[in-house]
Amino acid sequence: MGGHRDASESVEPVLRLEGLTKRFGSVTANDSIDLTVGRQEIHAIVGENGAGKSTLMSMLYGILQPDAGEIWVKGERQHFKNPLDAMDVGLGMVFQEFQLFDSLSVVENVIYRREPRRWGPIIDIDGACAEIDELARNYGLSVDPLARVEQLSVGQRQRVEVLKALYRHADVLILDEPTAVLTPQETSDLLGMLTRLRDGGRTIVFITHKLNEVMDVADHATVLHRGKVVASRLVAETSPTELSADMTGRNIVPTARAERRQPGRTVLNVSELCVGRTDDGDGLATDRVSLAIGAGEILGVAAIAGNGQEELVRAIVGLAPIVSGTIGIEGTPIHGLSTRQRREHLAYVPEDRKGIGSAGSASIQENLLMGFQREPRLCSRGWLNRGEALRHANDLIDRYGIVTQSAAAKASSLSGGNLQKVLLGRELARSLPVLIVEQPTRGVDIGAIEFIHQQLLRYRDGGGAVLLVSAELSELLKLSTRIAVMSKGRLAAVVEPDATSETELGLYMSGATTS
Amino acid sequence: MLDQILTEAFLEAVIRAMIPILLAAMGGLIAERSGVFQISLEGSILAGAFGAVAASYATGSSLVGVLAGGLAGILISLILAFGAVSRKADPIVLGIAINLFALGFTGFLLTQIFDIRGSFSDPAIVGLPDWRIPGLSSIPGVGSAFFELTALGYIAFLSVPVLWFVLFRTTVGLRLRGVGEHPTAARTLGVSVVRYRYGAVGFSGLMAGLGGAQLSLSNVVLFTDGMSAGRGWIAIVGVMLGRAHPVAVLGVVGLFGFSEAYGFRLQGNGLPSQITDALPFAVTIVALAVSRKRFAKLLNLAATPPEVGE
Repeated sequence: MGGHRDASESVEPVLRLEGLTKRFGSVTANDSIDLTVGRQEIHAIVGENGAGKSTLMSMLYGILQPDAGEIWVKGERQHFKNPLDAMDVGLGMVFQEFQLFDSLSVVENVIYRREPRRWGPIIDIDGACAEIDELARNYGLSVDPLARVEQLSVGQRQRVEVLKALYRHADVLILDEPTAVLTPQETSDLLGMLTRLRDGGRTIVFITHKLNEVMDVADHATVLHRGKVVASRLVAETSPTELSADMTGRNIVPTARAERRQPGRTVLNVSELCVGRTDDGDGLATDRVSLAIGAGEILGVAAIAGNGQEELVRAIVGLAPIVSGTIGIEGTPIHGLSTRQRREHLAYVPEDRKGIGSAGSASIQENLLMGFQREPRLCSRGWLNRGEALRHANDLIDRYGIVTQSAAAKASSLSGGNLQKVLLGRELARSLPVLIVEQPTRGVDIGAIEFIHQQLLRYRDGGGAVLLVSAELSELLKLSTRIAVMSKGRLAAVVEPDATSETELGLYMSGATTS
Repeated sequence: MLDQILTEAFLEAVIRAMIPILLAAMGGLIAERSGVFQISLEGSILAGAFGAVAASYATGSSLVGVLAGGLAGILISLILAFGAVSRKADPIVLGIAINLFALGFTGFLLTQIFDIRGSFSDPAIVGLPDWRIPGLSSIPGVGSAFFELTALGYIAFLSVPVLWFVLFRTTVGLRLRGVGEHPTAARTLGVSVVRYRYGAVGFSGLMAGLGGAQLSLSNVVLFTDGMSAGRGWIAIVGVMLGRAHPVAVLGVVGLFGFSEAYGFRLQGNGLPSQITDALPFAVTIVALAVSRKRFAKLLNLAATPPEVGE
């Protein structure tokens, strides 16, 4: 362990890992991990994707078995064969992908396999509801026990997962990247709840790569890098810069804003654009939105999910029909063109990387080729030039530092960051005047985030016009030349990053308008 | 038309047409809830019909016949359970193969055991008696339709509230629904997905087998090649249209029972039987087409994002 002495080590630790090691073939995912979590502390486990956080949690929860090392819970050595064993000694895990039954009610989800019974196999549903109500009141986890999970928001579903663990008497809660899917408001609710749970006597282990959350609520942070513990620090005695240096092994200043420059002539011009809702609801998803993006400009779009930004992008790319308005690129109207024709003018990196942006069962080479299939260099008379295609792929793999065994590996084998590099590399390789990019760094590790940001800035500096939709306000503030805020399908405000703050953006996003 | 339908005899015909389908559909919805697409109901009905006739002929007991029918239905369904649950085969491909196998194999046994092609009837086959419930069966208009059924007929209708209660009020039902909805989550919480699925598929085979026994030991006491005549498929449609909810499935099966009985009545009016026999299937197609639209609307409503902010 690092030089910092842990204050909680004097008390009996709730959780202690000693030399925990897990290998997959020749890769050592976890290399002799030592970790001590004291009672009633919030312990953050931070690290880039691929640092071994998930493997560690899987061993802790009995999903994977360690190759070496020991797990001690409350002073007793444990050999978890499955998650049930871990639950039995009071561990509760909230996965990033919720393990909930969507069509079942909240109460049914919570009591599943631990049902209180009235008689024989008959469930005492009223008793269960009362117990859940009480748990919910104690920790400020308000949720209707009889609501179906599918009707709940993401934040509420997460509460159901926490209730599920509490109902099973978990006193150590482990949360895997709990804020990755939450809005800023939900995130602060969650962090408040974690604090209350700790103050109520529980121990929290949470995995994250967002350092501001660590600084806000954690007592202790353990940093993983390439499967090893590289630092274990008391949060009160550290800084985000120090932690991020631990995480990456190099110094990244996470909040520095990119240098801005004056945009040139207008490249993408969206005028009075109205787009219908895709869900048969009344009204418009996007209501008379006008935007102009100049050469060498990044226009950021900030909005809470479902406020028209998805439809705006889909309408520009040609995936959603427009009701009225015009879209032009370099003076050419494109709103009447097919998606294929529009793609001769614009590059697009969609939010749904796996579903829309790539084909998981196709090779990386094939994915990098998509969209180029009509280029004479790569294709003649309907036949692909395989040698040239491979050169093209290997060139992009090199330039974008895509970590893979070979160009023939399936796209589904890539991590989030590497898949994003494939998409970005493919789209930018076409040197088009406009790039539309949604959530470029969601689910991407911190090292790749920096790389992706640099690519976006380089494209901008080369005179490209970028429409950047992101839920990460810090990302918008860092990269954008201007930020457009959308609320309920309308443009609520257009602001300069230097003249605004996350708080002000949040205000516009929730419906306030410029005075 | 109305004067032909609003009779006790017609209601009786509807109920009788419903029973085999209802039994199979109630089994099928349990399998569906466990997350297995039970597409071999047709095969289980046919095997059940054959097993019931063969055992009743051999032992002279209709009870043994019914048990054998149920057992035959289970055996057929276990092929599906083994393939689709244990070996992770595609249930649709496997189910179709099973149905074809059941059709061929019952025909084969018919020639091998009874040395008969096509149809087997014999006075030695003991049929199922109708149990008349004193008092209730003399209620004018509905008494003889509802309260003069075979034991399997009562089981079919009673299974609707019983399965509703089991599904929505007991631990077994809750766990079963969880297994079907999100098997990984159920497994993580300590429920054996494989055991629940085997149980559910086995139960569906039993119910379809009983449906087959009702078919071959009730109105007519005989076995004919392919006598399930699509009832298993209709039961599957019933499960899907009723979204595996016992009461809704009962309603859909009632619609099929009605169209079968009405088709039979139309034959009496001189329409060719080929056309009237097709009526339940025509109703199926219409019902599927109409409800697809309705489901699409429902799904869209569910997908509407809730209002955010003020």
